Amino acid sequence: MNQIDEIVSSLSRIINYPNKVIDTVDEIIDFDSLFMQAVQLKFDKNTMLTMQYIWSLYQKAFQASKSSDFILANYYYTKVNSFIDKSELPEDCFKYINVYATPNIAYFHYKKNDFLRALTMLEEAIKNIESIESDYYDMHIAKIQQLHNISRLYLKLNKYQESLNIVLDILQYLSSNKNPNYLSPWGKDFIDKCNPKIISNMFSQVFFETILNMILIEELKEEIVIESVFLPLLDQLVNDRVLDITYFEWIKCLEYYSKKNISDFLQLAEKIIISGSKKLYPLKGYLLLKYFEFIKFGKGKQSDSLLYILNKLSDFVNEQLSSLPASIKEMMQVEMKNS
Amino acid sequence: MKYKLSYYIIITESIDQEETKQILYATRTSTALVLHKDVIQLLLKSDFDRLSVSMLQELLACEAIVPEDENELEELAEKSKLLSSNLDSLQFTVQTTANCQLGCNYCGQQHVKKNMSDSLIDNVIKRFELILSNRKYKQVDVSWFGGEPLMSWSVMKKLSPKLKEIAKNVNCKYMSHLVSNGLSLKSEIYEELASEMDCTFIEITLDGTKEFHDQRRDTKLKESTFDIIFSNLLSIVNRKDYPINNCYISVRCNVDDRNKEGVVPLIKLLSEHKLQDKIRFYTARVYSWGNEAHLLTANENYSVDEIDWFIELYNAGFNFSILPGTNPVVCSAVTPDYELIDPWGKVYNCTETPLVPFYGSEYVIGNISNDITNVKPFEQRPYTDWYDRIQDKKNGIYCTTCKILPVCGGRCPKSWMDGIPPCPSMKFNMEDRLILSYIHSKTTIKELIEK
Repeated sequence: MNQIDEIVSSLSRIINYPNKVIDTVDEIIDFDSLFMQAVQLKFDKNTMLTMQYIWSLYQKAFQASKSSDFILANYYYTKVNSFIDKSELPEDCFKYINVYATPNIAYFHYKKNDFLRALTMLEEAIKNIESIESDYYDMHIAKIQQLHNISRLYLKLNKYQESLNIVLDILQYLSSNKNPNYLSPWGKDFIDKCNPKIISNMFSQVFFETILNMILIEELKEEIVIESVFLPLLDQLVNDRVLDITYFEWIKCLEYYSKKNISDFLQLAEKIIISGSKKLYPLKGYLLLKYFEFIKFGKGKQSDSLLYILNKLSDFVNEQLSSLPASIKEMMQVEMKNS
Repeated sequence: MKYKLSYYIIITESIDQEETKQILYATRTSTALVLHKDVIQLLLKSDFDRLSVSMLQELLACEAIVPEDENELEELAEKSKLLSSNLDSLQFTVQTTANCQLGCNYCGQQHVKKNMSDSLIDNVIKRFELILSNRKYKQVDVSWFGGEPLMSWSVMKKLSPKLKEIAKNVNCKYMSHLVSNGLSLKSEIYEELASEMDCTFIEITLDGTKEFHDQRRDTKLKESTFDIIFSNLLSIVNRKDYPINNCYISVRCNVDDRNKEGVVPLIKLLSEHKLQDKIRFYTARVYSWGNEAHLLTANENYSVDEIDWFIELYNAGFNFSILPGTNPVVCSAVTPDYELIDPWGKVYNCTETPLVPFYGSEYVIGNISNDITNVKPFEQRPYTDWYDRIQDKKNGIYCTTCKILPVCGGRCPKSWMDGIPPCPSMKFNMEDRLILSYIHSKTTIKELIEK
């Protein structure tokens, strides 16, 4: 069988696979709710009511920053500051308020393209969280989230290697407890006390975003990302924490791809695309893009069956990978057309 | 911490057969929530301690409940003042001509054959450049307004590239829109507006089907106009490349008691031609334009009829929202970032006053025919104290106590100065709008059904 035939067979099995994977809906754990739970456990009802009002103002400021409406964001920051000044909250509350406020204000500076100021604030946010994580262990993950934000900032600053180093730090920490280098020492054994579901959500978020960045950001060279983030993970994903095996297999696929080992690539990629959870859409999308690259460089005449399958593949992409960003779906449509 | 139920709340009757659900609409954020009647009762009794943490958070976020000591009117007004004086976009209206083919019987403008002269065109360009050099704007929206702007097409063509270039030079996003009667809006004109002049939308007017429209929007020589305008509309929206650069046509239907029977037939006609997804359609009650046109319809009647038109539009498949957004900046006249230049070079801060004999020189804020700096500073213009005026009951402006102020903003400061309350239809039909919106587009209303 030549290369194109192999690809045709593999794609054909993918689009004809009878048992579509049906995912159960995951409970979404957002950090606002985590904060709320932490505060509820800690403070009395009256303090809680005051804190909720303060949060609502910070949320409004965040929404305004998101729409780049900085005047409105400033309006809410002024309002919340004057309210906090007047309120007679117990001293202990301020630690919690700072945990919530600092990343919020960092985002404001990020949106204003003041990346260095945002970076300083995110580092401060990590320190702030350290002051409450022993009260509520899941807050430890909020620290990881801020570390992820720092990696995003480095991307904006075009410091790609710094960004990738942090991404690797995070993924290693979540999968194998290896302490991050950034802002070390990183802490005690909080990670083991966190809710595994939150750890797993965080891992997917960082992993997926790295794949999407690798596809979408032209300056972020694919081989460097693979070399700096994914391959080093291969030996470290083995741990007693429950992480989907598909992540290892996906990295294995990257290895096969880089070595142009097409048969092994197709075998494993097909398995991931067919049987892996629908929620692993970035992994699947990336592998399909690799199929197109093989087709592009493959030898032999493009057959009618390939054309037929590429047409059918569109439906598969729309159904199974519906959560992919529109820009990547467009990219795939173009690739399908070109193939 | 003590809270109170916001003053700016509208609560509907039950919306289900079991009579357990009601809609609460917080106008401060224009958020509609479906709540269990027991929760509504708790809110009305200010018994907030019994609400769940997440419910309380939702209600705080939409400002349905607010701190007990908050002066809400002052809060709204001060926020509006801040936002209206710090806009990052410039609105710039060019009234390129005082001429118009039509003689609409409710129009307050006096039309004459006067287009902008070449020397004034130069000054408009210089004035535009001066404004953009004085402050950093993210974007500018140029409005082509008349009279009928397309009667001065050559003026628009001279101005447009220059204005675009100036905006580009200061890294300011440029866009424009056109308000036209539609009579000269041929397909090739549309193409040029959308592709060359960066038009984001074009508004034309149809006051009902032919029999209604032609009674009131005929030419000065009493010729019918409906067929020509409708044919222009069809040839544009049926272009294969429509909407070029996303430039949609918006159809406005001005309504008073004389043509209200023509609205439903017009909606039917538009849907027969499958225009539901191609145009935006809306009705507007005829208001005073320095004349007595507002007396032609009672607002309460219009508000009742409007609900029927919404139902007709929903049934025909038009996609639209009948719940308004918040309106912290009521109109361009209350911001320092708006100017209108008329065909003689006079500068205004309101579209309703130029060309209208009823309004005298007190409404003119400058004249750039000889000196491009001859424009009054913001503080000396009409309407700039609007957000102070609405806070004082003595001024007789109903907005001081009106629950829809956050979504209306006061509608039209000029009308209040004229002594004609411009209260919009939603003031009278908001409950019906909420229920209709719930029935037709549930996704826009969040259900929080916990007891």
